[in-house]
Amino acid sequence: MIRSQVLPYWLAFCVSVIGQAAGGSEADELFERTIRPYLVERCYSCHATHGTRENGLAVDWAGGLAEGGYYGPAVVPGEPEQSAIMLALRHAEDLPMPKGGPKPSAAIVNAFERWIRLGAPDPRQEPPTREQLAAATSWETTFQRRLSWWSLQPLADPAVPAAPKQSGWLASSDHPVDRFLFNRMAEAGVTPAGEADPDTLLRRATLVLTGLPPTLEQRRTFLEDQQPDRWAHLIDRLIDSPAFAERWARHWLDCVRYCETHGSEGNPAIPHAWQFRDWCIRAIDSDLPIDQFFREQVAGDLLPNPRIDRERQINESALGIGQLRMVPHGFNPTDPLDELVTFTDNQIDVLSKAFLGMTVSCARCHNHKFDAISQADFYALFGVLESCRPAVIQADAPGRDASKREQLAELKQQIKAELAAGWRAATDDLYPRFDRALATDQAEADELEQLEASPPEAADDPADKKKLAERKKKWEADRNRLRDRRRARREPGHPLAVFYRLADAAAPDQQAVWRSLQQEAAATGNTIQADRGGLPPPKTWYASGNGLAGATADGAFRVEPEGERVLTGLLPAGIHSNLLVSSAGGVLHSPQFAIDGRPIRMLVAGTGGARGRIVIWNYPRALGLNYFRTSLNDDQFQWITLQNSYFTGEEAHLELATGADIPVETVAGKRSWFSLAAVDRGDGPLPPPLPPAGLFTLLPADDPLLSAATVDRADLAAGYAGVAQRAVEAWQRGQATATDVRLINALLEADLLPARMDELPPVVPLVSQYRTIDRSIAPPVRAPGVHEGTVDDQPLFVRGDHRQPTDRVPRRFLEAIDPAPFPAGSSGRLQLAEAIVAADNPLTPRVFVNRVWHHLFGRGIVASVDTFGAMGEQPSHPDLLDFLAARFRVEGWSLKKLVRQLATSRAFRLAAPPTASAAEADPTNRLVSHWQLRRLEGEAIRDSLLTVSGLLDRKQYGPSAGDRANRRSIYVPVLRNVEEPFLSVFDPPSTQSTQGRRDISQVPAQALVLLNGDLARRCSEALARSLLAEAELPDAKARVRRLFLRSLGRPPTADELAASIAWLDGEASRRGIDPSAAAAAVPLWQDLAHAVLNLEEFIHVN
Amino acid sequence: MSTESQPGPAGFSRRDLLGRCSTGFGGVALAALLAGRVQAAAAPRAQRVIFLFMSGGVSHVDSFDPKPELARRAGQPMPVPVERTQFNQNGTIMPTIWPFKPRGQCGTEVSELFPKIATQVDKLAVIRSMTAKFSEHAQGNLFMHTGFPFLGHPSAGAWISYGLGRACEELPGYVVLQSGDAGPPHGGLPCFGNGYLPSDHQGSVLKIDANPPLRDIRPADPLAIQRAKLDFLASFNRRFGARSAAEEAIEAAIRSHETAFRMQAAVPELTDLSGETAATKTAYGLDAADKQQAAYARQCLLARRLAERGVRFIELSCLAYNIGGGNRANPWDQHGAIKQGHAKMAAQVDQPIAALLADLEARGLLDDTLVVWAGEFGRTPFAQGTAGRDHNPYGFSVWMAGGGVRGGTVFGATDELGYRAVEQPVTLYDLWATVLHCLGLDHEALTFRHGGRDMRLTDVHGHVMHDILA
Repeated sequence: MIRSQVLPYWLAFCVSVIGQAAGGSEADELFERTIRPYLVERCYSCHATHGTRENGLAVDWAGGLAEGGYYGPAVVPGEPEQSAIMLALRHAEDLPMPKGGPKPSAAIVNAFERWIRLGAPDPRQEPPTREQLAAATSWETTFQRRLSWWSLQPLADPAVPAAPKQSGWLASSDHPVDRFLFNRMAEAGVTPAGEADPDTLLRRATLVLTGLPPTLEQRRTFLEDQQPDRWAHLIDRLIDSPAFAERWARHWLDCVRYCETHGSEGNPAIPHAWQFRDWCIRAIDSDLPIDQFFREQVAGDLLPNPRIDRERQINESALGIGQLRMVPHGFNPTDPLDELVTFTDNQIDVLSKAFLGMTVSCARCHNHKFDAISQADFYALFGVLESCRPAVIQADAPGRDASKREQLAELKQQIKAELAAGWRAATDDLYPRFDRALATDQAEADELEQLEASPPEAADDPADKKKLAERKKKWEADRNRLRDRRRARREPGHPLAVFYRLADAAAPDQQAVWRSLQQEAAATGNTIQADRGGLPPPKTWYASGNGLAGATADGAFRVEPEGERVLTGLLPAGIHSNLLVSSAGGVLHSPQFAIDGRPIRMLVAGTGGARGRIVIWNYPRALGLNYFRTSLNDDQFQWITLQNSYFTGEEAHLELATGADIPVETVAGKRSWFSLAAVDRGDGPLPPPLPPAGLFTLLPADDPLLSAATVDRADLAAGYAGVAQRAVEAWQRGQATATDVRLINALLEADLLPARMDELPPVVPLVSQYRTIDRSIAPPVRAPGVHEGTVDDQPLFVRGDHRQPTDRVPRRFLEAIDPAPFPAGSSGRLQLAEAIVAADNPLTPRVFVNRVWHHLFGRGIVASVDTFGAMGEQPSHPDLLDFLAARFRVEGWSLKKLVRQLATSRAFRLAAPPTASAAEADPTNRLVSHWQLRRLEGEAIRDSLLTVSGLLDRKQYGPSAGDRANRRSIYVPVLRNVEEPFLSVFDPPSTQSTQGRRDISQVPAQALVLLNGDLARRCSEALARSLLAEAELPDAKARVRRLFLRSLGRPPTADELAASIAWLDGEASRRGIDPSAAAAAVPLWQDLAHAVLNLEEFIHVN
Repeated sequence: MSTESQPGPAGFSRRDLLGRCSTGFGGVALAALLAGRVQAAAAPRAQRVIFLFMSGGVSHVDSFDPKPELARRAGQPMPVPVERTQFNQNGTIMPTIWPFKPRGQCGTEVSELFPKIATQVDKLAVIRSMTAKFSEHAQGNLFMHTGFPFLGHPSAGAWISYGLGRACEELPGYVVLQSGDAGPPHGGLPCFGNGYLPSDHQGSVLKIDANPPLRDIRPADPLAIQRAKLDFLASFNRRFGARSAAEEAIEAAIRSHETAFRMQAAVPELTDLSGETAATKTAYGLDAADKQQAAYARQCLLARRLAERGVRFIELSCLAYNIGGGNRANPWDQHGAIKQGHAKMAAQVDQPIAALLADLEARGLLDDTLVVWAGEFGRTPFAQGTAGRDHNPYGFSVWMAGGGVRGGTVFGATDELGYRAVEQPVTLYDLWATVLHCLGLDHEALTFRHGGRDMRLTDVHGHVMHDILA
């Protein structure tokens, strides 16, 4: 069982008998095996010759112990009672040592006492040199020593104890759990209790396994089952019920601090958080092997063979990583690296506690004080998680809608061909279209004039102020849009500038205008002027989501999903979302880079609240204060500027996301897309949106127009027809240049080329078919998760100070389990997931099995269910724990099998009262010799109220619903910063960290919420009305019986029945209710029901 | 509802309630000590804390930290490097418009922003070198209250209720007062949470002018019926306790029911001010024309009444005027219009707080009540834009008064611009270490084992500020 060659000091914690080894006295042996390691491990850090010597004490040599400190000699050989060290070890007086550490076990205390009594022989006759001390306390030595801690040892495979000689209900069980338990009871001379009565057992099993009280129907089925294995039948029925999965999913949610908001100012929602909750329920319902359950929570999105739900077309595995996102986020932090450390620390804290029962988070600033966890371990995991970016992920099954997409692609080709044909035809006949273009331009001029003449004015109603501001904003936007459009048409870069400016000029001036245009053209370049300034080029960016399919050359387009137009225009070379499917979406994010303060600009277009932003150290919120972002609601390309000088020196990446794919502050429900054409970083003026493409630059060098002294509209039409034809042909061949695209777009905008379906009859059936298919494609399933980003090993932060980075730590798992670094090229989440469930990791199965035990028996074999390190508690039945863990692993990590195994033990069916011997020898029931009454969790209390009153809505899954929806409590929203009135008084779990064991407090607020709160009142009334409505209940006694059966799962005793009837009679007469009416008086029955629902029995499992 | 003239159905009067509240004390605190939960630091000087939380952040250079250099450098850029500010709209150095002058016997300078608190200055120990770690409200508030910048950790009030034990069974150990439109600060209710401590110690929000002031405190039944139900319940519960071998737990539950029952009377009695004299009400400002001031005054008077009943930690909540960025959750947060905003806010709390200090003293309560006045951070000595100030956690002022504190003292100093604490800089950990010390608790010994660690209010930090102690 012990794999380590080092001093097995852990034995001293578990075993009280220290054998005498050959070659040394018992005392020498004690010193080397127990005393020295304990002193080094627990005492040297504060009480050593070269350290702080707290209280003047040095325990690192015999003289130091003899001299002692403030409390007198630490060790007086032969006299434990005069040795101050015994006070400290026993936690006597005001001297609980080690400070902040685990209390020394009885075995340790006994060993010290024995050693002192034997004369306290100590070979350390000289104070150690600094070097000796350093060697004894070095991390390497300490780490090796700590590796022998019990929970890090390989799983043992202990034999099931033989059948005991004793007789009795538990003793005669051949169930392995009972054998192990009884074995220990027999050793301790404790007699177990007998079996509880059937009603108690039914209620116990139903509540413990499903979180709901048994219904009358369930009771009948159970009691009528006369088979010898009716108990096993019951357990099977319960495990197979949907309620089981909801109950056990909630247990797991406690471990991963499930919540639906990020907290802090604004408390933003974690979009689709409920998907993770539903994933948990489905996983447990389908008895997903727990190793896979864990794997998916770390790297479900990366698995080579994910679980695909074909029916719902979902990559089910990917939903598992939602737990990584249940982190807190600050609001607009001035120190974004601190924010990164905070939320990554939270991820590490939860991962290590929930899966491993280890507190790795403690090692952020220094090596762990008590466990074999180094500071490097913390940063090894940090590197893995920091290489991932908070995201809304898409979890569609691979290949979802593939055939529809193929059809769309095919149709799009055909549409393109028809467009090209239509455009070619139009270029032959440009002249009449000129008039239309000029008319449109004039109409916009009129519209602008009208708009400018009528700015919005204040209404009389002062409450209208906000609306006025909104109207003003819209008015300004409309005005600017019109102005900008008219102005843009006349700018030198506009392909039709010549055309509009000639039209603007009076006839006599046209020659001069023509000449000046020629000169302007000669001075204008024709290339894109953006300068990336060292930013990663967009083709190296990471893309995720079903709306992104790599970069495209000039000339791509989107088919309009509705309306008269086939398309709005052609797209420049770049990365464009939603080129095929309008409901798709995605995220485009750049590699990490250092911020140098120069503004960053992106040439983008987008709609539906798509967002471009600069993401500093993965901080996912963007409120537009210092974390710059721009919401895109314009299909025209524009430069957006992302200021960042505030964050000079930090690291960042750029992100473009469609509205529904923004990680926090998501914009959902609108069609959204984005396009990225260029990135620029620099202090200079903004480059123009796109390369200029005036008529002059487009004409061939020998075109006579270029040298013409003057021009008329026929010449212009001929000139444009020529350049347009060439551009359309190039586009048709897939060889359009940026200039071609620019020209075609200008012609489309000016209506010189057709884009509406009424002008392009051949495309109508194609577009209509396209749209039908497009509409039939549902939006992707979205869920909280992360995207892989730039992979980096994390520098260790000196003393946890994030402004003091030092050497990088390779990404890897905990050194105590597996020190091999993870390969380059990915974050390492997949490797981390595998390491957590690897066969040589004994923690994971032990910790999980213990959690299940805890939920069944009320206390874990290791009571500190989240802490299997030195600060935790020792296992009460280490052999049983290993037996169960080994079986669990071998038998396929099945939760349902494990629960069935534990629930079919007789130990689970023990009655509550302890026997005399148990009360005497085992008052805290560590031996599990009887049932321990326990209070239900808030969720189970609320669900019980709703069940017995008949109000419970058994709808499963989907977005969370408030208390009044009467659904099971697992579907009630869990929001940071906000309390749910009922659940909050019954010790709800932390939303901050792993909490595998609920607190149980008793506070008056619980009594108040049940006595005066809305839920209990509603349920009492419903229960009363339903009792009165049941025709087969002839009289008050029958109703009282039914009330007890429904609420408590048992009939009332004769006393209780009498007391209830007496209470009803007394209340009726006190309230002046006529005896004949009393039997049917709702208020009276409601009050009785209310009283019953307030019984302690109702909120406890017996 | 007054229970003075007419005994309630349970048959107890106001006097009974007060009596019950004060006798429990010794036993409970002793029990806490015996349970090994706490270790006495010194003889306790205070039994309770009144926490005047100035949510949003008060400008120290306009109130308790005189900086004449600001006037000399008015309009100039900051001569020293400036840390990132929350809004990144840093303007030039902006002097105060509220003149400072020496006050009281001690001569501590206080500005005209708080003329009435200034009259009580001989009771105050002003700490001018406080620092925090966060420039953001939610993290700042959680840090101020719990020592950590995110939820899940016990609030100072919870630690103190836990450390000292309840002195009054019918009222929570940690009460947060709200009146009018006051609400929780950014960060929400977790600022008042019990974290991993038993839930008995969480802050109970008492909305003193709402009905009911405490959730579910209004009996849903006529009291006679409720009484009958409770008696019915008790007999059934006892049978159940015997059957399930859990007599002790069930007896505790029955006691809890009874406590809840009495709370239904104790809370209305507490908020019923009909027994207070007109002079008292006027002194606090209950009849102030400004309705926010009147509402805050009501909290101050309630704070005294809670102190009388032995509640361990009483926290007050400012009300907002929605000026310059200061809203319900952060009323003092004048990123703009600080002149108007701070003037209104200070006027709201100045008279009520001054009256509270005087009243506590007059009733002999100040000797064992520690009053702590603080926001989550201060504000920048330079302008945000032209008319506001941004958040400044690098140096700001808080004050303490009452049990254990040496009045008329000034501790520490910021630089000549009031930007950074430079003399005896202290942290919020030091503040709470000092508060716990005054209560007789050793901040290093007041621990709770959670998630494999011995957790503390002061994390791994904190030094008692002995210089300000009597």
